[in-house]
Amino acid sequence: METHRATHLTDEELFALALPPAGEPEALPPHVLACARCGRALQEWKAAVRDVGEEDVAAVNARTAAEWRAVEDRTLESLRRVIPRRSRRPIVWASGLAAAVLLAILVAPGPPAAKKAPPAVSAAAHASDLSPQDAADDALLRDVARLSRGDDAGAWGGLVPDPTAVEEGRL
Amino acid sequence: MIPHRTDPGVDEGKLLAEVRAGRTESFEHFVRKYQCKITRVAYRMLRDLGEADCAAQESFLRAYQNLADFREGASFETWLTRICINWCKDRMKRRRLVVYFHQAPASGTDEAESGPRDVAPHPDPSPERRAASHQIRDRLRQAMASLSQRQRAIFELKHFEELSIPEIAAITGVDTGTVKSHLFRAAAKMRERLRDFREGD
Repeated sequence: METHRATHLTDEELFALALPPAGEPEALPPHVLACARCGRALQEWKAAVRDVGEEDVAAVNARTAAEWRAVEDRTLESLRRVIPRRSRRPIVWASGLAAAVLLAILVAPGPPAAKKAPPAVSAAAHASDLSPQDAADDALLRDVARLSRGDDAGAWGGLVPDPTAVEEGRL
Repeated sequence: MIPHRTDPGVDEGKLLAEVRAGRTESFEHFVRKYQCKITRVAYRMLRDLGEADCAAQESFLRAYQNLADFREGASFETWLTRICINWCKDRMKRRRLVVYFHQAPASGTDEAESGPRDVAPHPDPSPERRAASHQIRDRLRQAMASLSQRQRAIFELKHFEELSIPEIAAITGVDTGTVKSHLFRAAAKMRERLRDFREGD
């Protein structure tokens, strides 16, 4: 009995069998295969290793399938929030560029006003097609435009009374 | 049709190519398949379920956003785990923690006694077997507490998460020889601590 006991594997040996060095196949000594006590002890060691590993993550393992599904859905939802944002980036870029171009057009100084004045011939020809009332309005607007360009210096006084003249009794 | 984690023969390389081509919904397969596993790895490091969830979610986001960096033919799971571990390391640095993994409670402490013991019930719940199992587990925890942070991290990835040595090497960014060396030293240190265990048995 004592002799048989001496051949039992130590816990150190059982540990080495339960957690074999990585990559090495588990070669059980013949004694373990023959001895019920050592075979059981080895299973206890293996179970202990498994249990300790699982106990460490017990909080994670406690989740139900439905809870995992919800966690996965949250991850997917966070991914969906990122995906459209990425696809919208070129549009944001293009709209920013368009806004900059538009701003540049608005801010840039235009060509001299004189260049914009329509040719007199064409204006006269255009006026001939108008009704009398429209022609009168057209003539008035042309006067205003001409005066505003400064073509007739001091002529504003002819259209609008000089406000200082009222005070001085010049009217 | 979105493949589910129960789909056995799904070609992940093909799915990743689809995601790269713009079929973003194909990424759902990876979330369904790896969310739990990644959360477990993160939890081992952070010891906080909320933070582990956050780590897993961020890992998927980073993986998705950096899919162009993923080497074709490599293991997506390994790559994702590496992203997760790096995220956790950054997180732990921010928390000013210096350990990769939590410190196991010392032998016979209250924490060890009050832990969730019945996660994997022993098939034979006789009092003697249960007591023996508790004794072994306590001793195992003591032995694990003697490991360095890196040794413990690699030990847990190998024996608890059942990753292969090349996988651990890819995840931790060291070569396979270094991983083996850490495992060997960890085992030697633990055997040393277990030498006198149940000597009077």
